[in-house]
Amino acid sequence: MRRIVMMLCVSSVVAIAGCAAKPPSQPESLTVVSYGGGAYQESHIEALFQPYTQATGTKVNSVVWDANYGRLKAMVESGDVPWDVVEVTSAQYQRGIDEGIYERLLERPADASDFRPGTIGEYGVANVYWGTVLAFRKDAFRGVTPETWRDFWDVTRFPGPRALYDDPRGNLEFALLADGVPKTELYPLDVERAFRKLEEIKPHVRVWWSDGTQPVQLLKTGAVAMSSAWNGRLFAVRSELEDVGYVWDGAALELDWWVIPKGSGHVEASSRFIAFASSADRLARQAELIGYGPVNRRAVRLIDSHVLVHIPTTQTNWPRTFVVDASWWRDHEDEMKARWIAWKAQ
Amino acid sequence: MQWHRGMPLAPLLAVVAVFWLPVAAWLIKYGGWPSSLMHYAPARVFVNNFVFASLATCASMVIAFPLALSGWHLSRRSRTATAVLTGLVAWPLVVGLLARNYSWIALLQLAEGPAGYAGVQTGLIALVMPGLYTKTAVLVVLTYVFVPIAYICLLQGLMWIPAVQIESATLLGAGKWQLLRRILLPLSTRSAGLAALLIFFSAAGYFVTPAMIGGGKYDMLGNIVLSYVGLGDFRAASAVSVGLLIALVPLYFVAAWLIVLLRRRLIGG
Repeated sequence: MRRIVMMLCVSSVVAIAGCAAKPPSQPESLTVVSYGGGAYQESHIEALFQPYTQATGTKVNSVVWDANYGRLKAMVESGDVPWDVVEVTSAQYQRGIDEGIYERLLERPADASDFRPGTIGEYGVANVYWGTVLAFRKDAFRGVTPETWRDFWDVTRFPGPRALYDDPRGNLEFALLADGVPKTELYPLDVERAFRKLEEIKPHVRVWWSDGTQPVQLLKTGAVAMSSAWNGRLFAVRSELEDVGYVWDGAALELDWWVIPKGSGHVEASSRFIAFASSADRLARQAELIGYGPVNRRAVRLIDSHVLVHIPTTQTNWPRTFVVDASWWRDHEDEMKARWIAWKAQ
Repeated sequence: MQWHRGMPLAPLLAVVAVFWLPVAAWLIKYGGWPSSLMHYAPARVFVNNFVFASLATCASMVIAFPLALSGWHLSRRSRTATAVLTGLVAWPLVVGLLARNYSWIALLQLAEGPAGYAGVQTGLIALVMPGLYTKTAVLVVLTYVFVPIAYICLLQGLMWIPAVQIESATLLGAGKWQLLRRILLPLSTRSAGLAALLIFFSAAGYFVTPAMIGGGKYDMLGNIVLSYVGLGDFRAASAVSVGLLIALVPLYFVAAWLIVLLRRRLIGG
């Protein structure tokens, strides 16, 4: 009797182990990681993951992360990588290539010529342009509305507490724009000038926000009169935000990239997913749901006209924005971060 | 079971192996040494960190002591009453840190009134409550977070005072105040010291409250480590962490000394 039980145990263990060791070329599911924020993840699920599952039969497990690069790096270095495709910022894309934590893509998007220059790389494909815009409470200033970053710095015409992102990235550029530097002459950044200008606005900054939802909440509750904010978050809750407006002037655009962390078990399937997610119709659908600008130019033409005013990559909005120079920041972000921390503490 | 001298060795090794070695390996790997510390975190942040931690420690001890006294006093009559009081004071620990911080945000915003974006506080509440995103608010919430822990430690310290000393004092005619001043306070200093150190060590590494209540303006060392980790600059993060660790080393010795003294008094050997 004992022997039978023992055999049953052993054989069931073997069976379970056998099921777990699946051949890697036919994955049952991919784990794709998007940024958090409810609406953003849902836009991915509806526009990208479900259609992908319908087209290929591979299930997509949708996970969110907080864009904490340290976490991704630690994961890759430990060797235990449960994520297959991750969405990273352009800064993290550069850094990850330098530090060797991404896999090379095995597949390129089919319509590569439709892509804006510099948006397809060896280690990833850019997804959307997202912008950091100037958002404000419409009822905060009698009659006038702010239009540029110069207005953000103008505390006499536009009194009230402000909020800015808790990172030098973007803020240095905004300071320079407010100081009168033309968009085309921003890079290489005049760091001294930027910090001098930031010193002016510092006493009026009530909150240095670190979470994407904060500017929305701060403006909605009236805790601040003006804030920088990520346009997608504003777009997602636009029906609730009647008192909040934003402008595209001087908005800082950055790219998001799909990458495959090194050590993921499904490089081939992940590359295929990335190529699929970069097609024009998928990006157009995603843009309609979340308001970020697809890098695939053909996608822009497919977007519903009501949504176009919120998209940064349209004919009207694109010229008013600038793209954050990822290579300048790759070279300087470490020292800028240290300097930012020291500056804030003064 | 006989007590052998070598008994603590096995658990000690387990703690070192499970908690210390992996962390040490990580810190050494990234080679961030405190020599470069001042570059990554200016002296002012260090000073602020310890000032905040000290203020929170003192304030929470001061607030918790009367509570602990009441608890101790009640325990001489009825254990249940003490249990209820302890339950009420320690309840926030069960609720969890994030919920406690969010509740404070809601509470502090209440005091602001409708003209929130003018940063103006209205009403009577404004007289008593600090505004959200101010230094005072951070200190208040930081203190609040540690009161339950202070209470539990102080209560325990009071309970350890041998009953025979209390009885003899009362028999000899000591009044309530004399009892407090001459027996309770002196005899509970050592456990109070330990409690203070426990809270200080926690508070020195804190980052949740300064981030949520401070609006990014009053960052403590924990927030800075987090900033560098988020960026991927592990070297800077480890430099700051090691710096904090080393700065606290003298206090570890004080804690060890207090524990030894306490043990001698309790066990007498």
